[in-house]
Amino acid sequence: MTSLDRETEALLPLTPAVFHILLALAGGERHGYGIMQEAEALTQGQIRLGPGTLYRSIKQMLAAHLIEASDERPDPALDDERRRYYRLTPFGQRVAQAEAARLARLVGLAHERRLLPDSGPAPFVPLGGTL
Amino acid sequence: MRKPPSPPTRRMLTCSLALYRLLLLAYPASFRRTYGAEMLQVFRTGCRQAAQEQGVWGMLGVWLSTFPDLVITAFAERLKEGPTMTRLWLIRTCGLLTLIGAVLFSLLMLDGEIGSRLIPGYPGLLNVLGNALPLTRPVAGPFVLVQFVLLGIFFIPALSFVFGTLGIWLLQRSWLGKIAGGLALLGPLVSGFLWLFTHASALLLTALVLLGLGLLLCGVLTLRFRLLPRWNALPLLLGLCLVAYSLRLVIWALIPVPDFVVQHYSFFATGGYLVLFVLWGCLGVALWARKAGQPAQVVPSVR
Repeated sequence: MTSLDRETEALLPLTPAVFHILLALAGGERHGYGIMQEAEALTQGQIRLGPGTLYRSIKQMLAAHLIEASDERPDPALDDERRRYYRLTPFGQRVAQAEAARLARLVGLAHERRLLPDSGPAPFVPLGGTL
Repeated sequence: MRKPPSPPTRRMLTCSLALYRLLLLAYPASFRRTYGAEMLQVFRTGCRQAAQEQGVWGMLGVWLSTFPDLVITAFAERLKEGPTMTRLWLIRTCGLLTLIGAVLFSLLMLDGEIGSRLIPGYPGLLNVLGNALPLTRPVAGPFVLVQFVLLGIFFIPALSFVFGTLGIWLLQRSWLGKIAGGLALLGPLVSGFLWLFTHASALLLTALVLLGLGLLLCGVLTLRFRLLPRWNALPLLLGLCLVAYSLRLVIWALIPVPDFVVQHYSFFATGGYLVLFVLWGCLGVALWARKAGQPAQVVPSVR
């Protein structure tokens, strides 16, 4: 196991808020309100991040180098210059993948123990592997 | 095309933004400086969108989800940040709160016990307020909460007292100080949370005993290190009085009480409250009057 793997493993499991922010940013860089909307859309309204939870998580994620603030704006003419955009770092991408793999393994186990309704074959994820 | 919000909705939007800006003060200053403007902008955008789509109800929905989030995250950030004021100011604040506690304590005693002895049939204003509420059916639902808020005044002095104790505890770092602070903190915690489920008097007694014991320990430290500018025996005396006062029923049950004490109970009770009040107030003054560097040899450096 490399030191990068160890660093990644040390951050798992992620809190739901952090994982949803990573998921939202996996689709491209976004500002705070954009992250909130994307997280809400991805979960069909089940997850609604409040400003406090959002920026507290962003603070922790910036400190852990999972995300970084971006100076570029998609269209400066249409956008408010006070808005700060955030994007995933390569390390953040790696941590998000590791968390997704961990969750997929859990879902696989739930299928195996017949805790989920039969919805086709369970995804095969080797233990210790990544998706 | 979305229609513009109605005047009442616009007014509520303006008020909401002003209130949210004010509530952001709950976060530590460093967090507010970095993320405050962005949080306000996110809240503003959310409110505007909700107002355009659902009017006032939409904005109420935004508040319902935002307010608990703000309370929890601000508390978590404050906890993570730790105390930001200097030790001197913390102790002076403790002194002020202890003084407020002394005043509230005396009011409570006057109302609860002395009042009932001086005025025949007087049940105590706080008791009346607390017990009348379940009689009115419309408030039966939130009764427990309302009563807790009303009778919570019992714990305001206790909490202020804890602040005072904490101030003394913070003056040094020994394990004895930590036990003293812990005991004093346990008092209101025990009484505050179990109050709703069991008999109040027993819990108040427990709270006072714990506070008294905590203060006794703090008193030993204060005397040993001469932590206050003067009157170093105060916390010890107050702790002794508080424990004795709290355990008076137990003591009376175990030890035969002289007849003249029973005959003049009002006099002894009033005297006891007065002594407690004076000691409590003096401790507040002593903490408030504490100057920087007094005594320098046992005060840990300000981080």
